Amino acid sequence: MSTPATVHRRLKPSPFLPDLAEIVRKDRLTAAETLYQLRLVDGTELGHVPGQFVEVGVFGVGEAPFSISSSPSRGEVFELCIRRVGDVTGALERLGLGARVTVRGPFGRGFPLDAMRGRNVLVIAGGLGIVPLRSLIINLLDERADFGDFTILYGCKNPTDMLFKDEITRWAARSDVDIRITADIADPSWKGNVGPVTTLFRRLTIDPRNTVPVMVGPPVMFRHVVKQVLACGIPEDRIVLSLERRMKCGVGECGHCQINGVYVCQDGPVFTYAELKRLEEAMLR
Amino acid sequence: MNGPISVLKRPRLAVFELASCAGCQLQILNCEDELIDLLRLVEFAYFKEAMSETSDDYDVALIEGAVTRPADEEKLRVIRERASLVVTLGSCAFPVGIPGLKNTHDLAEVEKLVYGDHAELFPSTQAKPVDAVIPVDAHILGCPIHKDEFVRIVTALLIGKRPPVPTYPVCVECRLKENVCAYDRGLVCLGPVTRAGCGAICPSYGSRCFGCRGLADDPNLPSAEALLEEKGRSPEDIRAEYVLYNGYYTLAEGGLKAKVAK
Amino acid sequence: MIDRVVTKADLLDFLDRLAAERKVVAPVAEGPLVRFKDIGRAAEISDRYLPTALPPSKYLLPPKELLLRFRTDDGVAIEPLFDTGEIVAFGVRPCDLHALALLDAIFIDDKHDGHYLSRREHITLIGVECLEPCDEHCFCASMETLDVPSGYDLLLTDLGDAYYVQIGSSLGKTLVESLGAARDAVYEDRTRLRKAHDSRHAAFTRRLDVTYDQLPALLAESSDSLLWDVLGEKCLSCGACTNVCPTCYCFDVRDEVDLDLEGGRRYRAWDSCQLEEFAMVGTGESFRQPRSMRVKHRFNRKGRYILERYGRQGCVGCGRCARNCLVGINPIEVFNQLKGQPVERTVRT
Repeated sequence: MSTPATVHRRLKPSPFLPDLAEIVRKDRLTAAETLYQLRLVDGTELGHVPGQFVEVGVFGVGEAPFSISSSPSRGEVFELCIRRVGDVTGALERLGLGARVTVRGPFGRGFPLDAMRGRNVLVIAGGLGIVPLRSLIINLLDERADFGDFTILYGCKNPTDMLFKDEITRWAARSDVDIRITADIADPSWKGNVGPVTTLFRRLTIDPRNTVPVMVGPPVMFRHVVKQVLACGIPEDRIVLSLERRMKCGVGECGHCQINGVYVCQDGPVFTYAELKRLEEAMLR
Repeated sequence: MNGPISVLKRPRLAVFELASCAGCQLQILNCEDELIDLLRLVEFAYFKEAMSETSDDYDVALIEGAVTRPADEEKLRVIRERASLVVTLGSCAFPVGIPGLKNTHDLAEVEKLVYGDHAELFPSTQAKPVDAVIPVDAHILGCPIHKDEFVRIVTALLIGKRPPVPTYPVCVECRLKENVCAYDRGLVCLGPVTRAGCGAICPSYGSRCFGCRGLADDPNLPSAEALLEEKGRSPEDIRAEYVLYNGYYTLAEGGLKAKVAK
Repeated sequence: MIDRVVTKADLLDFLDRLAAERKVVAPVAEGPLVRFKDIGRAAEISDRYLPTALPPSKYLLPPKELLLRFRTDDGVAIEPLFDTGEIVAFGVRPCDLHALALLDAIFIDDKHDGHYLSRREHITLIGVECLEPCDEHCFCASMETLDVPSGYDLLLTDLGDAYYVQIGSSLGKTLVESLGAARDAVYEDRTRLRKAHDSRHAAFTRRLDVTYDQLPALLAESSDSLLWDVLGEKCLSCGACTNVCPTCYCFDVRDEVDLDLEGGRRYRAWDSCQLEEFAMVGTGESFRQPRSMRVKHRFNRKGRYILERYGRQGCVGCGRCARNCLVGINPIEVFNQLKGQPVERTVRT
């Protein structure tokens, strides 16, 4: 299955010379996550494909990689859903609307949209995995007629961790998408499925000849879900997953994101299972 | 508005001294080239080594020295209540350093040795690092601290950034200095297990690392100790290596003690 | 281009003149070490074969390299920084020339990294061939990095009373023309060069039980070897091996802020896959936590991954890592042990 090549916005003398972007909107999603809407100051569009990431920097604090959460089909602005965990994410949270941050990218190989056209798509999101997958989901919904059956499985630890609640409710109301949600640990308000995301497979019919499973989540989720979809008879080179590693430079130089001989920032972050299964450091076994 | 947002707007700093030589405080005053700029960012509310005015109104407490008296612990608790950030200065405050040598002797004996017949007038405790008594937000390490690192850490704290202190050992910086390894000069050296950030200053001037900045995040102590043994050091010698600066934590953790006792 | 021959006296003269007007760096011996340093006079140059403490790649990828400067007080101004200082590096050994050719392939051909490119365009490389192995740690013959087909501006070979000079670039040609006293090489000179090359073979024995292009397969099948656990127990994770390695180029990118908090710098600094923090992600999870995995990763990068990706040796056999390892982890032994019997798990005594 072919996937789109790396897209560079433009060649620069320094791979570290960033563009400037302005924070145009901030929405607090949960206690730890905020959705940022950014616009490039030079007026251009980011020009990404779903699954790619950017390096966002706060002057004086540093840069960090973030998956792009918005769909390229909704141009002009782009969105990043960011969990506050360290220096850059903490500094971003303190910045107000109109503040300028640095942006490099988009980097990496995104989801193989073209190879998915005409097929059934099964999206499996675990925890923060929904963040890059939201870009794909919106893109698919915007070009819905190009794809077959569309199923989304989303698992989070607690119901309160669930991201993009309002949007998911709107998606669920559509008749052309099947959304199933689960929580590892239920609270009294939770009426849905309880258990890991693999439990959602029980009542699912998957056509192995024509389904592309696309998954993003923690290593433990990959291990279990890959087993599930392989058991359904889906070939290894049609199982799509996206990895999280420490993408520091974004351009395949710095070495931090390397797994065995592969640079996640350039060769990925989206891979097929066939590409990764022999890589011990992919932690899929 | 586009740069980093200060989380602390011109905070008031207070410098306190426990059991120490005051050398780390002097390092602050040694920031001659940076002091004017620094004073635009912070002001000093209390700094006995530098000014006569005093105040109990401060945001950041910088604490030099080890805890060695019951009164120190009380003082620290008051400081912790008043300050929004507590930062240690130097090895005595963390990981305890030279004052910790008293811990290798009987407390009563030490008191008698120092204060003679009046020992009971000066109640004392085992030497402890500051973070054994109150929560600490950041450590400025070293014996003494280095003024450049002091400035770097203070500015980082002002913009809400974690202090840029390496997690790796001194060897990393020592190799960058192209030094002749202390082991190749017939010495033993704690560089492989000690936290970097000093620029390997001691080995660079012909000495070796004594471990004043405490252990790195991920030291391979069994292998480092085997190396010292291979260089002819006895278990007692190895224990002494740790005791100089790292006695409080490494000996308390039991691993080393067990090894030395075998 | 026609090769030249220059007498040693004339070369020293030339280097003296060069050092008077330009920045010339060369190996300088001090105590047990040789270091690449600025020289004022040719007499300071050491002809010891021992590889320099840090490789000459420190001039192309400095341990701490400023990438950008920024100000945020009056709008936002970002200025990328490119070093254009001219350097003549004299006495670069074949192993290091191979390493620099690898860095060129990565940073210029593949990554178009302007910071590296700018430094590379402003450095002149004068190589000096090795006619004897430096010490017991060198294994360049096995890595096939003793011969240097390209990647230098000038390459010198010691013929006793004179140097044979091969010209590798137009820059080298200009330089050799300014050398004045050099004469064109003739048949006898080429014969002497060939003899000098031939005479090396006895001294430079192969130290590995495999050829360098067999290493990828060897490492791939050694993924589960117990040797990695043994090495993981010994390794101090002190980063010495990667800091002195001429083909190591991994770095971290960090910001520093000026004292007015309105400006600062973004820079890159050497980093090491042997350090625990290297593969840690934002949420604190390290994807290569066990020391044994880190050691395995280093040997795979050196023997396998770089070769597979860039078609060039990821290890040039200089032996610096072995010379700098306090616990005796040595690539010759590691590769040969992987090739030989499976290693039993042993506990250090």
